[in-house]
Amino acid sequence: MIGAITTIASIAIGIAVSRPSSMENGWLSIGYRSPDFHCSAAQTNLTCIAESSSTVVTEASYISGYGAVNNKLQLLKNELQAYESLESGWDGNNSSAPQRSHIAAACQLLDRLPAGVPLPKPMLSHDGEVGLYWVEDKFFADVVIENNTSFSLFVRQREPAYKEYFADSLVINNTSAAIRQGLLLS
Amino acid sequence: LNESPQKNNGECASFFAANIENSDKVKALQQSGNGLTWELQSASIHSRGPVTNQECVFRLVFNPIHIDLETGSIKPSAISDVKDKGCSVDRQTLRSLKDVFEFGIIAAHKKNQNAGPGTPSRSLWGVSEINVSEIREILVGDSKRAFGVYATALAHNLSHADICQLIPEIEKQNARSARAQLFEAAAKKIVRNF
Repeated sequence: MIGAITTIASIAIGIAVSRPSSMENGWLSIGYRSPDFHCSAAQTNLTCIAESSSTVVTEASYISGYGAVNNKLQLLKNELQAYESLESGWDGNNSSAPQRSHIAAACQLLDRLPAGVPLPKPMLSHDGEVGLYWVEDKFFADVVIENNTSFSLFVRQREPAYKEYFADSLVINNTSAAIRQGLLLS
Repeated sequence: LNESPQKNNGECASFFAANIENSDKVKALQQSGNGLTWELQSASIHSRGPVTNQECVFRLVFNPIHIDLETGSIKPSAISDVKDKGCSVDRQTLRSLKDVFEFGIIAAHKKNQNAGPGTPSRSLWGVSEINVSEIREILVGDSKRAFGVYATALAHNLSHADICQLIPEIEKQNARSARAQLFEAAAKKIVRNF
């Protein structure tokens, strides 16, 4: 019995490590109940996460299920990886192709997003800059990949009041903490 | 803000003519220190006058890279050239929406002809319609104007204008804030069909 629990716990930890954004759904998928969480209508996803750091999960990710989140994550990676085929001039004169290492870094960042944070969308600027962004009801945020190992994060919260956050030279291996700090504005 | 068009003083038009192919035109504009002054002047010998606050401008948006196909909205990358070469737009007062769409279809065809083999085929997704006053009202930091809109008419397109970022990239947060606000303005109204 103890062995079985240990095995299940190991699987859950494995899911949490490799797919932080779907940790709670990983628990759901092996029959555990996700921790309770409560967010008032006045709270942003961000403040909700801030106030319940041990029980982070959004309703959307809770409902979507592990498989759906995993598939969406893969779709986002597929879109990023499709950028690899672009060559200089892809967006008119003077446009640059993205660096493959930056695309790989963006994929790594997706894998390291903290639980409860909505999945971002990929973007590619005409100068080859690889990024991710969120357009949510209560905030806009974007990430720019600076190099193979670091990124910058900008957050513009709309509600309850306009508020901004910016940090650069954030380490991709430490994405979860960096994103969590950036999105925890209040 | 611009309410009384002035005459082309030459220096402004010369600057934009000299930098028409410069992929760092915006940086040069920032360094010139004339970003706000030149909004009040014609930035081209072909210009019909400065861009006024009462105008709207159209930004062509091409499928698929700059479109979020899940929501149909534009991505922030659709206007990212405001930071370096300038974001080309058409003035509503000088080019009808019908003409903008027709031009966009031709432009997509040309882009496909000139693009490398790895580039996905593109088509005109739609046109973002933005109020000039809204662009000029974007402020960052200590209430600094974030963008200028310039009457950079071309011989074959008198309606051409440029949106240029006035905040240098070294002001990292302000620059990102400026583009985030412009993106919100640009994403508000996307015309899909004419």
